[in-house]
Amino acid sequence: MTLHRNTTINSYLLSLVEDYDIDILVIAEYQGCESELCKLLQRSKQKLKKNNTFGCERLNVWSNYYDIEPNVQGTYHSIQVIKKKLVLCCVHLFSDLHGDYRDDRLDEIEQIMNDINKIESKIESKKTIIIGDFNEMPYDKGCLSAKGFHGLPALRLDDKPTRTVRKKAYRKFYNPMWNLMGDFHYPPGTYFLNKAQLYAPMWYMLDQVIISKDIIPLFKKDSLNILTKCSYSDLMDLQGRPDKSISDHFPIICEIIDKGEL
Amino acid sequence: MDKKNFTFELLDKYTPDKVIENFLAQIKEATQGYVIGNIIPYDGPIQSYKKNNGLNVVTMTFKETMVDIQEKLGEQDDEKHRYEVFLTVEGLEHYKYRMMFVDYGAIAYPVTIVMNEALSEEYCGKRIDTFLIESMGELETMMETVINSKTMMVLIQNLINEFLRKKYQKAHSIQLDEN
Repeated sequence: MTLHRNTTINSYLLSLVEDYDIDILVIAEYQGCESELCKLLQRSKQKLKKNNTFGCERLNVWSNYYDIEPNVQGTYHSIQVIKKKLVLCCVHLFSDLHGDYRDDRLDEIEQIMNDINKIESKIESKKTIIIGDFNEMPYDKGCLSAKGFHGLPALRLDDKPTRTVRKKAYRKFYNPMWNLMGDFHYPPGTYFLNKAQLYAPMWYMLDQVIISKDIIPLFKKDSLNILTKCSYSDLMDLQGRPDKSISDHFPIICEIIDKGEL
Repeated sequence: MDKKNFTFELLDKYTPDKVIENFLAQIKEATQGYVIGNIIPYDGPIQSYKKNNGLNVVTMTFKETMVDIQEKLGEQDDEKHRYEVFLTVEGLEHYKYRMMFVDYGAIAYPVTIVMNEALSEEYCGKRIDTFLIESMGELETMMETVINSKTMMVLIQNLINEFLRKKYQKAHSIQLDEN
């Protein structure tokens, strides 16, 4: 979840962790009292501990996994490897708030994908989850381009693992967030902004999870949700948009089945 | 032609990777080998241009003067030297903090540095992370600033603490096993 520098956020976080049985919590822009959150989460029923993200100031990762090792820490991403098999790449990319940075983000994402590929080769696994505040829509360049995360709206296990463009094969990823766009489910996105621009969707799906093909059998589709409340408080304002006094983004949640072997 | 027009003193004695390597050695020494600075060849993509957090109009102007590393160096020569500079920590087998990328062609200087944003903010006070460094002296100044920056100091101390904590936990668990 993206907190947008809220310093009084800990009660909401604790409530979310306990209400939704969170095993891994990824936070962007955390500005609260970390030592207090440490105590609260360690004493919670989920017993989350802070993971090593030293060097990546934009992200915090908390989990109750014992076997979780920090890997590459960059400006915009923090990679953790769980049980020596699962690559968890947490991202908080830069936004378009002050201009159009789609190309810049694609560049950054290429670099992140290069890190992921190298780690996967080293640990001999193709199980990767990319999660966080991408600061762009699922259909934007960084998320959809084959040179970026290549997060397709549909990917089945029996589909070809790559897509070839001008004789070069690009590995496919699955982005389930496409399914949550629009008003068939509420809310239509994780972020709301009424820009004074002609071309603007108003609701944005900036917070996303993108998974590799090997994670698909472990991914519980119906678990993917945008959270608008916790037992401590509603997270939305009277208009049904993210309550900015808490966070300007709604958090997302998903479940990956872990039967021990991942 | 007047020979006074020329200088025969080599100013940029060392290639950028060698200069950086020398500075990284200071980290290892200062941390008793717990935190190690590494520079290794890199074959992946690095950012060619970068965002500017100013107004749109400023960004547009800025972008026009940006350097596309791949194209610019490609035009000069096919020879490419690209490195990744990062920290690793004793006892944290896979941890890697990326400090910067280094990129130059057949000619060692100018060299392009693409720096971690936290470090670049301290180095130049702006959120610009791509720098064209003209000489060895300028690179030395940059490295001096970077390795002694507050970001690096805090990070390295945190990493030392993490190493010591792991070491303590390991020793403690062995002791419990023996009991």
